[in-house]
Amino acid sequence: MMVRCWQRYVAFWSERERPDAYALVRITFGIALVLNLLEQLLSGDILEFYALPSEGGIFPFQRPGSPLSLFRLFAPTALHVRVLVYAHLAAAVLFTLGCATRLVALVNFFCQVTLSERMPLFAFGGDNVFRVYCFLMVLAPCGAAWSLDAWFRRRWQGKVTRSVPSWPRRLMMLQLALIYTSTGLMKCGSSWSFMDGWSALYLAVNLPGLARWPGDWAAWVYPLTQGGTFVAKWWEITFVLVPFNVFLRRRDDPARPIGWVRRWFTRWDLRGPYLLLGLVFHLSLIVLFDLGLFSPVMLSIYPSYFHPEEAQRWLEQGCRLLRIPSPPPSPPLPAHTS
Amino acid sequence: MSESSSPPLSWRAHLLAGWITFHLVCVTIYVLPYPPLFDEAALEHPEVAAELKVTFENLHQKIPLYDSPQEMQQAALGLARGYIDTVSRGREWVEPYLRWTGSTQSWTMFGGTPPRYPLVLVVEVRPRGSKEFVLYQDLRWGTEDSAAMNFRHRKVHENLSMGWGNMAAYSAYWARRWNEQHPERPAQAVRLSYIRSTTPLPEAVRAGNSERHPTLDILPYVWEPER
Repeated sequence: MMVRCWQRYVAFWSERERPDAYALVRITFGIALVLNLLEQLLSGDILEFYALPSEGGIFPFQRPGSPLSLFRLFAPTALHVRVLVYAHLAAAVLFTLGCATRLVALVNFFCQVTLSERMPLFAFGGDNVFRVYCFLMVLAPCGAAWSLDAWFRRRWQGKVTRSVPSWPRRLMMLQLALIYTSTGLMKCGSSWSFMDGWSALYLAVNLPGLARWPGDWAAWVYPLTQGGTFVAKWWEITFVLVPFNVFLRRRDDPARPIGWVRRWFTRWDLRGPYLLLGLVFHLSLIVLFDLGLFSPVMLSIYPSYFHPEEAQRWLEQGCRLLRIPSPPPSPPLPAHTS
Repeated sequence: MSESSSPPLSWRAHLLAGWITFHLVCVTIYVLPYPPLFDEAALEHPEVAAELKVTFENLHQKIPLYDSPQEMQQAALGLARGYIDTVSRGREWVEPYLRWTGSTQSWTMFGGTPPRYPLVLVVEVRPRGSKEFVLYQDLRWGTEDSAAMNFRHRKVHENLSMGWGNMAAYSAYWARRWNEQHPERPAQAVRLSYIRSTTPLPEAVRAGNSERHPTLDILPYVWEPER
């Protein structure tokens, strides 16, 4: 029994799929990464954040704790910081385009770890999301389709990638669920419950600096903020159900009987309501709070929840909007992949 | 859509499934709710003390498991200490691996409770030849200084208010900014202080009273450049 369960578990992580969903995540995450770096460059703050105090920085340099930090190899002088940030920007652009994708994903990862390690006092939740997902992008076959890599491969070698492993995308899905669920569980204070009248959102929009405007307006729509508090907390906590719903809804053999619990749990596709609510949640955060690129990077991960055919439709739609020719669709999966 | 693999599973597939499980376990242990501070000083912090008071008074009123809210609070804190010790040991165990994969993480956005008495940093400078400090950065809502400030500085202000980070380095930074703008009157000293305001109740705001009662909080930090 145990052996059979393990075999099925291994088989689950060995499944393969068409590469379109990876392409969409690569493009959305790459754009968010580029915007994050441009925001820092355009505001003229990169030396303040990363350089030595004698070279325009603010905080003294300590030997990085991360074994992956490039600042173990060279000091954060103004020149090194500029080179690192521009190299990161170039790698982010190339990643978005899907050029030397795996290599530039690795460059992005090292740069992101190095920079975030240097600025722990400045780091926002968004910076952590970028760092964690840069690692997952290294593992993922993001350049297999809708990329310059795929174009070169098709043109010069006549090869088309038919299938790629599903597990990196599943890790992305689970990571997103872990972010939301753990954030939701942290919301254990009284203002997130009946004990203090679900007042958390009202208090949050009254935080100077973080909230974009004085929060007096919220007093006039207080019941709405209470409803928002309740929905936000429970949407976050229960987000972990979504990847399990997606995994359980995939069935190789529709004729095989399934138990009533699974039948009930998989009756609805939870992605629709949860991702739509997430979109509303993050758009509200963008309007109400000054949190930098936090919401854009979170939304950029959402396509990891799309099935490859859905991602393909979105990509084709994007090509039509931008009036660029879309590449030929990915061929169907071979009969057996391992 | 994905499809199952029919051929026999290779040893690499088993290894991969093992590593993925290990990675997910490590990340899950690391993201378990964990307070950044949990000591006696933290429990006496006005924001934390107010939160505990509200929580246990309300909880005791609705579920009177103990004789008083204080007793209930002590019991809950005992449980919390046990949980934190266990999670802390787990985090120590998985942290080296997560550091090598750049995957250390904690997600505490608006965790606990958003502050009822939020803090705003005030930067003052004493220019050369003056005995008084002058306001340099007014970071309340709607001011030009506030609008010009990069959002990441707010995180620094929050960290510094909790005693994390280097006040001297941050003061020296503001002195440098002042000197660039006022080369004829360089900064002799920089004073960093926090104004604590009270978020008014919604009923009070609707009744026309949105006063936030700003008060000076935490002893101001004064920095003077080395001669």
